[in-house]
Amino acid sequence: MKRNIVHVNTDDFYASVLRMRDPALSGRPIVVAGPSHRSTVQSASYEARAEGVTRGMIASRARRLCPGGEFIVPDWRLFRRVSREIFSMLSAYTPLLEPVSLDECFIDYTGCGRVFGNVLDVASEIRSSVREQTGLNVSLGIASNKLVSHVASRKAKRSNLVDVSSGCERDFVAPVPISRFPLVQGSSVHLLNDLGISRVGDILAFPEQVFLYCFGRWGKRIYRGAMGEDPSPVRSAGPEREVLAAERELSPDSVDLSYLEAVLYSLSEKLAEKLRERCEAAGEVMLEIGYTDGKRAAGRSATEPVSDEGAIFSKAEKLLGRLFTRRVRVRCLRLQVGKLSPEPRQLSLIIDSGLADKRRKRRLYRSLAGLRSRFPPGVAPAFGRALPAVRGGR
Amino acid sequence: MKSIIRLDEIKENFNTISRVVPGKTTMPILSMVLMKAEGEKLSLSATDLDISVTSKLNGKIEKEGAVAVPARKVGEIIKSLSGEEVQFETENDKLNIICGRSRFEINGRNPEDFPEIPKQEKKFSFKIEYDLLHSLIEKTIYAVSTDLSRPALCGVLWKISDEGITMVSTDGHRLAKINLKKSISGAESMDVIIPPKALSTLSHFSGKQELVNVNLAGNSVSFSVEDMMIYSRLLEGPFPDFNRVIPEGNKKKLSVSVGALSDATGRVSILSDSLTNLVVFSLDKNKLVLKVETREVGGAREELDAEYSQDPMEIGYNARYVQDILKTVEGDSIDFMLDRPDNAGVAVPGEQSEEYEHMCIIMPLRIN
Repeated sequence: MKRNIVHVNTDDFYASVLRMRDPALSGRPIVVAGPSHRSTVQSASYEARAEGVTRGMIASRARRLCPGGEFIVPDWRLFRRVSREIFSMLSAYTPLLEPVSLDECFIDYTGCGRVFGNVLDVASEIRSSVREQTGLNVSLGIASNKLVSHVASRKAKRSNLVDVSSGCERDFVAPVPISRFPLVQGSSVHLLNDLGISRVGDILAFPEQVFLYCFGRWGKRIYRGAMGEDPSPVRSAGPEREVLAAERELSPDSVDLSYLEAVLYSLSEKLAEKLRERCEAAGEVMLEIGYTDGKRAAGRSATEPVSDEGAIFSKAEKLLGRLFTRRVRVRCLRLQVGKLSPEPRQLSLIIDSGLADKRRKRRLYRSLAGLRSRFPPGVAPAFGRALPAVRGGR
Repeated sequence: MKSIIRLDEIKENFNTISRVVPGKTTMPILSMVLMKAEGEKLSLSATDLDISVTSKLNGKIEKEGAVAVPARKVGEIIKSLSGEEVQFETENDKLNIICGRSRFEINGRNPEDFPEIPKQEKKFSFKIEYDLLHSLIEKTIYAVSTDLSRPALCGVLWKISDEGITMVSTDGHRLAKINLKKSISGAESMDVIIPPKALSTLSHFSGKQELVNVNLAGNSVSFSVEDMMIYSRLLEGPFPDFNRVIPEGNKKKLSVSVGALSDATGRVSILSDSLTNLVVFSLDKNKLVLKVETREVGGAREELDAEYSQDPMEIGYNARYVQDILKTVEGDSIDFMLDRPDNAGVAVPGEQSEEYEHMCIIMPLRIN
């Protein structure tokens, strides 16, 4: 059966949503970035991009490049709400919807034609109904697989629709610059450029075996991609998994492990406090390290349900040891807890000393949290390992 | 092998024996029962390698021999038969079951493949009335833990001394304790942890028995009753010090009728949360109100007469735990000795038996 995959991409999502909230921003360059001058740019509007601002750039540099730009702190709750609204409109056409990010998703329309009509008509309908209901423009790419539909939606910018006929996929992707090919990112672009590959079609000048030998599975994937093939299915997302997050931008950037651990401890305290408020325990701890050169490292670790800072920190500390492998200063740490479940309500008999310790610690953490809520940082008692984070960086 | 056995006798015994046969096993021979005709008796044996049971039945043995047969199939056949007697006959590892005009032929296995049933050395043994032991097992077995990460809690602790036996079980949320006041002559002080499967097999034995011989040796225990012998490995300890969790300062006494509380708990818990089974005990002067409120389903409330003279208090319990305790309490009333809503409560029968002291500890559920 011929597959009909549609890639839906919201044009200039973050800036458009912010403009809906504040129409005075209309036509002005918008840069979405954290409040600190050292934070990174999360998104830049077309106007800001025209002045050289790119995603991932340090905010201070973005300010120099775009002095007249509106620098706005991201309102993730608003972005998520709008994103959910768009995705729920799309899911009326097919149950197979795979979100890629807040502003992008794939939908598998295969076999739905008899119910809703031709895919081109439906795509136009989606475009107009999203614009009517949310005020946002979407670009759509239609093809027989995910990869080509993604390339098509990039070509469709802005608020356009590109349909790649079945059998024309290879010719369609051939002229695409290698840097715009979804499977090739970052340093891989330079790697392929060094081989004389500047457009996707150039890949096919090599035998497939060479690519497989040189780049392994990824080599095989981009070779097949250059032929316009991508067998990967559209995987609908499971129920949304809620996570709690705490983030800290270090001031100044640091490579001092004990300072990073102190920051991590204070993040653990924040998360434990949130968990206590919600009477929940977390079954997963996730850590993301942002280096000053823009690179990031992330990892996760499963745990028995935990709700106190000590247990969260002990997992996070191990993750930090595993992830912090570069001698590059760290700019920010983001700690998350997931797999949330209601905290057990059944109290236990203290039949062994381990349980008694747990209960004592639990009482201690609760008392400390109570003191922290009443007194300012630096005055409220804190564990020694948390002090560097309380007093400020080094 | 050729033997003729009374049908009602083998029905009862086969049912008890089958309880030991493991449901799932990587060793197919363990799903079988060994039938062995010897002398004037037909013996049935089953094992899961930790617990073994052998039961000997009187019958007419015409030819000695043995065969291992699938427990489930043979059990189903025996259960479905009607008549006075049943004949078992083997022919090259095949078992023929003949009863009246019914005849079954089942493929068995070589009896030599069946694991050897251990013979316990005699070290220390004592006798106890079956009815009494049965009652003590019922009062402790329900609180045994199923958490394999704490193996010692997956059994019932028997603390034996010449003054009697203390039996304790706990799963970390509740604890059951029996103090049997029975002098056991020549008993050395010893602590043993007995797997619940051995005890439940013993308590399901339905013969007309009077005394059980309990034999302890090394890391095993055996119970001999009439012609049945249950052998079990003991669980390795140490069992945690249970005395430290028995609250002593609980002064708020609640006395209530066992039957009324059991019925009311059963009724209101229909609407309780399926995860926690939370039932709130709301105590006031000579009044106990059971309350359940579940956001998705609704709520229930039932008022009971009770003896209570302290300050009003609300305390949450898992309804299933309360029911388990009430099932084991003898007599008409039960006393709860309580403290704070987050502290352990002690439940004791309104009137203690002369033979033993019975006590249960139950931990509450957080209400908010």
